[in-house]
Amino acid sequence: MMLKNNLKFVILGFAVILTLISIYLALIYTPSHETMGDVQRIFYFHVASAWVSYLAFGVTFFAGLLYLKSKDFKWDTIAFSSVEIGIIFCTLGIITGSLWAKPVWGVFWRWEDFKLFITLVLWFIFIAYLALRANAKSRTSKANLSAVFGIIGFVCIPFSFGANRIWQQYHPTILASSEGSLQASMAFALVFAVFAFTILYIYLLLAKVDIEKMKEIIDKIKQQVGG
Amino acid sequence: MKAVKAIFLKELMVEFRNKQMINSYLILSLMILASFRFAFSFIDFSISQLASPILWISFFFAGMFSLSPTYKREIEQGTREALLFAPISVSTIYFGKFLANLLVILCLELFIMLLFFVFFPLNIPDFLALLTVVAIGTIGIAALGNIISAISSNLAQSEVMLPVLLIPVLLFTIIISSISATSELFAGGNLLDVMQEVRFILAFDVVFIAVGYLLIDYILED
Amino acid sequence: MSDLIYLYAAYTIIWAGVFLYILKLHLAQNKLKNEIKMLREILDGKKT
Repeated sequence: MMLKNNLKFVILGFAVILTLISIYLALIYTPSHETMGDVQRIFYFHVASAWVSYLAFGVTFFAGLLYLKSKDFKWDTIAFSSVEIGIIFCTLGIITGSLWAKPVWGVFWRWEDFKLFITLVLWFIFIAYLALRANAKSRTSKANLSAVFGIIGFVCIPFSFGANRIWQQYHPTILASSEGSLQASMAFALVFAVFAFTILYIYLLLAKVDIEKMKEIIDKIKQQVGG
Repeated sequence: MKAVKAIFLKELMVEFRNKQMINSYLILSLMILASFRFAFSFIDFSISQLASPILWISFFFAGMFSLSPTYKREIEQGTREALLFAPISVSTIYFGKFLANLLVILCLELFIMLLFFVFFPLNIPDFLALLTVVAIGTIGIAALGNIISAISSNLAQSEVMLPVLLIPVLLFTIIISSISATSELFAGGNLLDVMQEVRFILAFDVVFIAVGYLLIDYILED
Repeated sequence: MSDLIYLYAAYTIIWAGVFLYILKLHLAQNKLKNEIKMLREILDGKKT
């Protein structure tokens, strides 16, 4: 328990440091974008947020598979915790994406953009997953059904991507390559931001899983006390 | 194989045992299309643009009404345990129900299409292609719809949970590409023009029939 | 220049969001730890 706590703090500390560095990189180190100006700086953390939401869902998918195989509830806890973190970053990703889109494209949203589309689909799948868990009738049922739905949802993401790409062919829009050319310093800042957010995600996952475990301990104790 | 056929026939028997059911479905289809017709009577619209989405949204909702009771009625009528204890694999249950749903939804869709061409006069050069696309799209709806129906039947508020779970996984994948394909057909294309969509939809069908076969155990076990 | 509003808004939302979530997790953790301690005391009390 103590070792676990120390590990968590170390990871949090690491995440905080990386995040501060990445903020510096995003706001100060990198130059202004040639056409978009400083608004483009949103993009570093917008991409990082979206990346974390996809990572989180990937973890949910694999944890679901491992749960179905082993029936060990710890995998279900990991899957659920990952969804909660994932939906937060997905929401942040969509919001920052819209805030970046407005000054650059003139609109808050564009259906043709597959990245926005996929992230929105992911968001709906997250919500559906949480609704499923809220309505489950027993601990085992909750775990089983969530795992299955997580797998289904995960498989649907590439299909959504494909469907969107097919649909786009009928509505060809000349999407101004809004990123323009990525200078080396920008690429570095982007990768760094993604890395920082990944470490942050790991910390949040550990923290959330711990919380869920404590809740289960409390339930067990309450049963003993009640009896 | 024989077991699948048995379940398939049993499902159909249960569905059609109640004549009221058929009437309700038909009236439902009529209502859905009438709503669309009514809604669009207030604006100037190009039927060729809206035909495809209207058709598939109608299919989707009608399909949902067929899928909803598929697993729920086993629970409500107390036949669930009997079914699970029978000497057949759980996947047989899935396949039997899937095929039965497929047939029912296809019939519903034929009726909807009939009504559709009455409400929205439109020329279709390649009717066979349209039927093909509708058929393979429906396979996907029935395959994944069955899995989700099985899941939602085990949840509280199952009536609400079915659409909540079904929409994110069905709408943005197979429904959208079916709409694309049908749109192209309405615009005068033939089957070769939509081969990309057809391949995509077939891939979806195959994948989710496999997923259903593999995962139905976990959904239906206690 | 008004574009910068979007930049400020985006950064504020992200960092407020992340910070608030970490805070929420931290508070939940403390609350649960206390509850476990309390319950364990009750359990020990019942045994003796």
